[in-house]
Amino acid sequence: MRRLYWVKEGLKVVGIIFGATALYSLFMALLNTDEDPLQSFIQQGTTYFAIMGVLMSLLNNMSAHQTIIPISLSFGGTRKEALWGIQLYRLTVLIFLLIGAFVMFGLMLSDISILFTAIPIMIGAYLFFAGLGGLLGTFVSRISKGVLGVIVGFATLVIMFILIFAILGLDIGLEISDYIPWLIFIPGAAVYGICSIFEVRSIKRHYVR
Amino acid sequence: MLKCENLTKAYGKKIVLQGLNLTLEPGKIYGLIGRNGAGKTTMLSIMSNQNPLTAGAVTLDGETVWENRKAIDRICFSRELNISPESGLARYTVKNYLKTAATFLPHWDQEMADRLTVFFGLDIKAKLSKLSKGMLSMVTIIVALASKAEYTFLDEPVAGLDVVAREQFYKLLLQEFSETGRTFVISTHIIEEAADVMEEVIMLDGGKILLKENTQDLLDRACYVSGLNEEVDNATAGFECHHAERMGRSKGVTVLLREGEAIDTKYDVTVQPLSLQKIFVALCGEEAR
Repeated sequence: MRRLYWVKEGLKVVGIIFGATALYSLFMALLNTDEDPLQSFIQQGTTYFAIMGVLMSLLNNMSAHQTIIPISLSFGGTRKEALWGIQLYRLTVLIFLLIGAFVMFGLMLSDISILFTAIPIMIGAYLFFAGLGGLLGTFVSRISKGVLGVIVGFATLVIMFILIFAILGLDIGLEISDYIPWLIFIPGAAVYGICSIFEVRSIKRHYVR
Repeated sequence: MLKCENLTKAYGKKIVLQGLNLTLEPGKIYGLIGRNGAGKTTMLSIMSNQNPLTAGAVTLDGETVWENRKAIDRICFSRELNISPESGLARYTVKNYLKTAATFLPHWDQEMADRLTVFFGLDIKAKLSKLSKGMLSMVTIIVALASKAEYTFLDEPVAGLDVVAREQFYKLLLQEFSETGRTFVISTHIIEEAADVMEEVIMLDGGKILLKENTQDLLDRACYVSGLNEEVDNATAGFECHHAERMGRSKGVTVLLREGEAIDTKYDVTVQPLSLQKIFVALCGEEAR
């Protein structure tokens, strides 16, 4: 029953993403009289879906430390449950984002095998922003301790970007474009892992105010 | 039995609870009273796993409460709702909040929650941010009573309630207590009203327990001795005195008599019984001079 709470909260976020995407896309499609409305709607939808996905990944994971985590603890949830619960929350959002991306990009692309190549990119990007959101949420709820976390988090980001550009700049005789999905997935996963360390420490000592 | 052993809580260098020892026996209604900042909410939140302790232990029938699902399932702490925008509760409706409570509290009685919602006249579709302070108190009361938890803590449950609603709450509490024998701990500032329902009173001051005693026994042994300064001093010599009040040549002192003690009637003093509120003010106010 308790796991349902985290899934439900994740579904609320999914609802906001899909709802906002549909609204903006419809609005822009109606304004664009040059193209076929349906085609325009789908095209706009993919753009707004990506934007909303990124935005909600960041913002909702930030606010989780002030909302769903304290609420679960105030009703007798344990911190261990909260730690696993926040992963379930994120997984719920990720699954529906992938489904949504498959549907939207599938309607636009003739060769859907490209979508499978894009999976690491989508997951990597999601993990990156979810981790960053979690870290910033930790910072907001534990300001003095979070400062160090934010500094380390941003330092990690800088190092990752440097590494990516360094790799891209090297002439190593390999076709780099084949590796772009993994060059996004691996740093994203790494950022998520590093940010999670601070998040775990914060949640373990969290107290309801 | 819920036990706190040498419970200490510090926020940085500020010590809020110091070496607190407390045993809550099952099947009683405890009143927890103390001044603002005494540590009442902190103590209750530590006992219900909502706040980590700095030192000591909280156990329920010998098992540590901290992060112990089995123990936490037997405890419910229904606290004052914080409806600030950053808390996240502002967007909840009464229905959603009670639904969330039902998700987490394993012994939740939905029928009772529905009945109490109607009884208090709450609109379940109303957002918590739109409710008055009294209505928010009603929501916390519903959560506490419908939780059916063996040990239920209520933090200022009657804050903002009008006198009729307060009387309704006390009746509901006593009814639930007589039907189930649950243990309740009620933290309150409205001492006189709650004194009738409290079987035992726990007074907290400066992070320490001043006393924990049967309410009636405390009322029986507390008295206010007044008269001329010299007479009062002679009559109360050797007794536990608190909060002396001087009025010119006269003086009044709160005395807590120990077993077997009594004020000698040979002294020209007036001995009056005291209310629980007056005892609390005497104990948590200035020391006797």
